[in-house]
Amino acid sequence: MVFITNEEILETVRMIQDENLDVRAVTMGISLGDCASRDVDRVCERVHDKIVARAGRLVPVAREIQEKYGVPIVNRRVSVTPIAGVLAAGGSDAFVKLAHALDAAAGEIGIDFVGGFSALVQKGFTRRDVALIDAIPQAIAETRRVCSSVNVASTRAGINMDAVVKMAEVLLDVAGRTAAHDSIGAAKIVTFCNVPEDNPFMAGALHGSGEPEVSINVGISGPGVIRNVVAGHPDLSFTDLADLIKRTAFKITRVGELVAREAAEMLGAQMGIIDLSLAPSPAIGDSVAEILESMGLARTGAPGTTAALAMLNDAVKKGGIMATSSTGGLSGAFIPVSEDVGMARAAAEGVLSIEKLEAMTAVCSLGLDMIVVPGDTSRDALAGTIADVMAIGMINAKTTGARLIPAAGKVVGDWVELGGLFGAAPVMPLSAAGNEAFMARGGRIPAPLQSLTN
Amino acid sequence: MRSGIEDYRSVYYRPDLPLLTGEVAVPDKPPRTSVIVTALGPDKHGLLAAVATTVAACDANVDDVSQTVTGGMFTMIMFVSFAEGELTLAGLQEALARTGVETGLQITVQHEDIFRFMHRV
Repeated sequence: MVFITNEEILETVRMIQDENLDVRAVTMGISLGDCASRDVDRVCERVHDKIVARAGRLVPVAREIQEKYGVPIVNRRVSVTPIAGVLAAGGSDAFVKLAHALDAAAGEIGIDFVGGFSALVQKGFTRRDVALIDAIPQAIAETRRVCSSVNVASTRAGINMDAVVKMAEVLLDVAGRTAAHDSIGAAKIVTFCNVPEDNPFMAGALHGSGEPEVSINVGISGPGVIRNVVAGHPDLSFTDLADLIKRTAFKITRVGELVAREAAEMLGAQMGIIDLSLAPSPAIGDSVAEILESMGLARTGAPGTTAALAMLNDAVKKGGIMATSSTGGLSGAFIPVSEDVGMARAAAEGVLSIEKLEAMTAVCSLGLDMIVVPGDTSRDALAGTIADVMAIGMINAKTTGARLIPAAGKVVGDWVELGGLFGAAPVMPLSAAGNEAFMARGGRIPAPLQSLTN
Repeated sequence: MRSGIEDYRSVYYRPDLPLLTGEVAVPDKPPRTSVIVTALGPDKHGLLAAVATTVAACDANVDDVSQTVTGGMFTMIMFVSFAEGELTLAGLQEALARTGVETGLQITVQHEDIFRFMHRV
């Protein structure tokens, strides 16, 4: 038996019972490459059958692991091969049909979301990509569990500005279709730069072309644990504080590693990656903003916020990298507004702006995430904001994403309830300055110098 | 097959050599599950006895136990093991959950791997 001290045992129990330590997501990635066909009905049947066959035991297995170790596993999810490549022919109607097949399979096996209604168009569109993107508004509005993502930029290819504009149109369309539910549909759509192929977190999860047949990817959590550690040491220097966060991140990541190993073995899948992201939830005490505030900032958004986030993000990675050899996904602290009570509070008080969040994007993941903007935001204002986030990812060779919600009928200052893990957030203002002539240019912003690394 | 010098053999085992003098072969036993039970709550008489009684009634074995009372708060850590097939972790959790309700203790039952994994590579 490995010697374990009483202090370590009680620390583990406290982290789980009092500090919301959990595993945020166990996501099974499933390749749908062998489901491809030109006949949409055949594809729907194959996709449904394969998801049910491979992930049918995901929920009971996750429950068993949860009970064995006493660690809550909050979400069980499935990511699939980007759907644009699975349907060999057909228009957007066919893709909507396929979205319903994904939704039905997800419902049957009891998972909350299936990700991968996706296309990668950073360099240009295929006919299938166009059909899929055109299908997104209807597919998202008519299904409950399907999540969509489109990669419009990369460090290697630059930014496909036509795709950026198209995604702005998609967001406005889906926001209108789901207006009765505070435009919740837009929360299930991510626009990416440098999309990871093994991300376990929704709404951006997909199963990339370099992935195995079936894999298990795990997203850790634990903002509450880190916050308590930081708050308990108000006098530490940054050097010592970083060291403390590293030690704590190590422990959190080890839990993810244990769960991933066990789930992969029980489900007959290859163990994929542990995503070293601090993922907040709307629960009190499970907030990344509160970690930053525990460092001494009165509110997230105060001068010093970006520096605090950079230090936090780096320390989490350094602790995590010692705990697992299977890092991947997004691996960076998330700064969603609606999903993090501290971020939402700072935004409501006007001390955290979209511009500040954009700056914070440069030092963490994911980007402008779960941000509610007025329902009358113009297509070009949305597109320009997305393009800015993509540019940060492209130049810094990192993943960035935009999950913007133009809440239909809402104005700045309104409060939007998205429900569940999506949380709630105030409507935030975007710059009113026009950019129509800029967005009208179209084409592709060329790949940056950073792309030439060979 | 386990032996008293298993760790030694894992490094130096040479199948071509005879067994070391003095090694005693232990008969195969059914695999055992090791869990750690913690109990926290306001102190009163008989708390350790109540938990131990439930563990015994479940046919599980107490391998080690420590308890303290600080400022009126009872804290107990108990290493428990049981033979797989005779008891399930869920069964022990259920029984101890009832004891928790009866005694006012917050009782957790977790597989020991979570503690081992979290603090050690």
